[in-house]
Amino acid sequence: MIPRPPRISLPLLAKELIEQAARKRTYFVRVFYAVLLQFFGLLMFAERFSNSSNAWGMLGQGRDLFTFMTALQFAGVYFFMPALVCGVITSEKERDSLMLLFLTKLGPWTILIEKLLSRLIPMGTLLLLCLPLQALAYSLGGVSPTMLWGSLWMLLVVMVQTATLALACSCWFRTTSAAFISSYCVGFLMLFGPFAMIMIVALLFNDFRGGFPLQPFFNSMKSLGIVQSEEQLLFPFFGAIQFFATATRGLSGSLGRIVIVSIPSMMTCVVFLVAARMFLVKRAFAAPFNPLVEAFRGIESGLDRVNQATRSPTLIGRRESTNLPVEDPIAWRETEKRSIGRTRHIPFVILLIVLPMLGLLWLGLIRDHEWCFGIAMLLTPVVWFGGLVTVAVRSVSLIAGERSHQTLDILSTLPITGKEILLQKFKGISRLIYVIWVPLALLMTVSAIFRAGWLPSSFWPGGRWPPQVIPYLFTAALSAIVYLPMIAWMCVLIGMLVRNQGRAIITSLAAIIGWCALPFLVILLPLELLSRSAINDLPLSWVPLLSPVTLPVMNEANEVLELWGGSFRSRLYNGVAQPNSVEIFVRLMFLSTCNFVWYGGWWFFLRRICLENADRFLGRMDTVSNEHGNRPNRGWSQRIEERAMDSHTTAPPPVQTPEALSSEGPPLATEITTFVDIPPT
Amino acid sequence: MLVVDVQNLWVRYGKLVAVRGINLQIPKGEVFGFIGPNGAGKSSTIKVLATLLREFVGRVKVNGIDVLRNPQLVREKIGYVPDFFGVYEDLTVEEYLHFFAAAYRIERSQRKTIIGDVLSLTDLSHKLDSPVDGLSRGMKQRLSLARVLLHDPDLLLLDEPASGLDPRARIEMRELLKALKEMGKTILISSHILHELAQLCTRIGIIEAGQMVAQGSVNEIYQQLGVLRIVHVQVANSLEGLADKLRQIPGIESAEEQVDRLAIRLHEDQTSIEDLHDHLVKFGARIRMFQPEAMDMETAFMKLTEGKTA
Repeated sequence: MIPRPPRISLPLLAKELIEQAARKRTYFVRVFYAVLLQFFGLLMFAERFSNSSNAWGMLGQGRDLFTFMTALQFAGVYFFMPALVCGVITSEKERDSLMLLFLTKLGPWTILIEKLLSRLIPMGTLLLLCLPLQALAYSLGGVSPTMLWGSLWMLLVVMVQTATLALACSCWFRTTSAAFISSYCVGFLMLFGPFAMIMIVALLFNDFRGGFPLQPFFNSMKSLGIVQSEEQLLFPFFGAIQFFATATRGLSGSLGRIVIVSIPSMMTCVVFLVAARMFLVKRAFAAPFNPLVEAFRGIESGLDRVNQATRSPTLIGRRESTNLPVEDPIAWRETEKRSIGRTRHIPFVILLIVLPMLGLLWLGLIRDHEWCFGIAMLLTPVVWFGGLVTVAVRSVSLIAGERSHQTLDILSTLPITGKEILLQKFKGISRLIYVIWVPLALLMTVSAIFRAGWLPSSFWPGGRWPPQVIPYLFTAALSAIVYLPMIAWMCVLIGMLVRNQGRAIITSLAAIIGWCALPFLVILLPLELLSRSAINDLPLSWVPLLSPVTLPVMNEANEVLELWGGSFRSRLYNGVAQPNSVEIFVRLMFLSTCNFVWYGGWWFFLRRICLENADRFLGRMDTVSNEHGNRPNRGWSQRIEERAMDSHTTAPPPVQTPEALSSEGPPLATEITTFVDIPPT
Repeated sequence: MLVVDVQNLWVRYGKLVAVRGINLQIPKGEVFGFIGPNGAGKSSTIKVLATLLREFVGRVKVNGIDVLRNPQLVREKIGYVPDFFGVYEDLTVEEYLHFFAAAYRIERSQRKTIIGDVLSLTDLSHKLDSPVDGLSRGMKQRLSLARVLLHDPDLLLLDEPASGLDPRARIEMRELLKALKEMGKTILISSHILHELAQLCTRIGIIEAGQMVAQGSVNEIYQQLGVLRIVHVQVANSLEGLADKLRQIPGIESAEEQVDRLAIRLHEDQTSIEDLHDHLVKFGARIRMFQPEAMDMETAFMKLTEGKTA
């Protein structure tokens, strides 16, 4: 008898895939992604085709199309893979179902691998959608087989790298929101940390021989054949950079070399996977622990001891007070029991963020002004990114978190209006936003000082106009004041509408990215590809403002005047308009005001939607409208009521008062069926 | 006065009709037990009363206040314990209760006293400084009851309060509910644990597939269903033909001779247990054991329902 080969059974993977297959969203996302991808691919193809006089002219044009598509795929993996994976274990913890998994015959490694595969497979299918376009690009020429296979390999490595990173975070943290934030933060450190470290070391030792930090070290690495370009040394774990630096420089890159440069990324995969295995069981039932709050408690008990020793209750600022809620309990919990903690903790938090930044700026200043300015310019997007992600996740978890902790029903039966619940809950977010404003304000001030004259006009390249400080500060300050609350209210709305916390976080991330990118992808890119000159003048030159990211970025890059169009730019270049003139000032201020009136409107609109519909979104009865006797959703309910009432006319239901019950006894099933068996509409 | 008045209640989730025309009236001071299989519509009905469901049809009043027209006022009159315990893991028991005391706008000067009282009632005074997350499940349920008692509501809505509790915690919970009953609280309680409801409730309602199939006091339901009482009897002297004589008494359905006893099934409305005892003495039986079996709520439940869900 021939022995049967052992059956490979992957029940957890099967269950996850079946669940995903049962969701309409899976198909919607796939179709949306495919349509968008094919649309841009074909648009680019059409543009190239229209620029070629004949079919021969198309030869070799596939390289740009291939590069664009591959870059888009890398961006997709880096942005969405952590969001997809970070909830795989935390969601089990939140549902108390991880214990059940441990009780099965599935080992920890099996659980991890099956969970990992359950997210890698859907992402892989999304990437497969690009194959027809890659085939098209390949057929056009300019793409070597090494590039094709190399891109597939590196995409696979990057997928596994980001997925294992998020998996390790999911195993360590207790909640999806914490795992989500940490996945992106650790990912950011992994990709840009080596660069930052090299820069700091170079600044500390003032080692910029040859114009590049640690040039001798790079030379020795290059002579060993380990790296080919500077970027590869600065970003060893950044697979996309490694790929483009290796594969797209001429056609000389070999597949073997791409595999070699992917080794650091593969090593991180192993490290993250081992970490995930260690954390899975060890941290499965970990007690809640907030290091920041614990640190504050330590500081406070230290202060108490000092006060007791000196027999002065308020010697160093700690006033004994009750920790119990007095008036607004929900606001109390949001502000007293969260990471940022009490008001007196905020200076500590700010110092914790600001001190390293000041250290870096000081290091830059030791070298020269341009370096300090450069560091401020680098830190600005970092603080924005960190701040936005934190605000978004905290906001989306405001209600979704209550829902996942099963406390929303209890909160909803309190005699507090939905609007009041939301406003009280938002106080914690407001405090978080105030904290984020401080480092942003520091960076703005540093940047403004340099723009005001510490840097020579020749610093601004290409004969570009030197900046005006007041419009810069105006735009930068309003960006922080308007955008953070606007994004926060948008995420609160998503958190109320999407019932699952993990899904709500992913949706909010997609919404933010979509809002920032779609105006470029859907309007500007097609226009750019089809008619380059069309967007050079007003009003189309203002279309980029439909993306909230445009003005802050152009403001930092000193390019806001570009938005006034080509004709104005030529006036500027020709010296008709003076860079420091009132006209420029007015134009800058006008543009900025228009932008922030528009987004301020969005802020108030989103806030209003949230507050006015709070009861409905919380799933409770409407406090305001029903005071006037309005009834929600009259559609189906009215129909049932009418039919029920019609039925009652022929066989009215006996209203069972206790007296009636005691005299006649309750009606039995058969009796009741006669009057309640009305077919639903 | 009716504390709960539900007339022709319909609840629907998408295509699923969860509650089909329920009528329910609960006067003040009554403990009403809501029995039904999973998915029968118990929680949906309770959620409507707790102002947590927006979409329903029918007239629902709490203390005479329409829940649709003035849900905010209704929220002040009710205390709702859901079938799960949502954990504010970052709070201690004291902070947890102060949180809800502040939410119910209880006077600051009275909060400490009230919290002390409810903690003492629920036997949690020694846990004042413990984190909520560290409490056992039974303690968490008692803490939930303490929470809903803070503002002294007119109506307590308890959705499966004993589910998932161990026997000791269940008994503690039952005793606590008895204490609340003696305090005159109106309680609507849903449970699967049928005999516990039978001991506690003044009236019960059996719901299946969204329809109320029976309601009334426990005895009324037994009588109407014709549920027979079984009495186990042991006699010291051997009496020939005792079983036959018993069978001839009106109301005695059967008298089965078992190894060491007689199992007598009787209709209580025709022959009471006391009458049966008299008959046995009259027939000359020297009674060693006379044990009427507890009324079986599970039998009643099985008889009334078919295990259908909405």
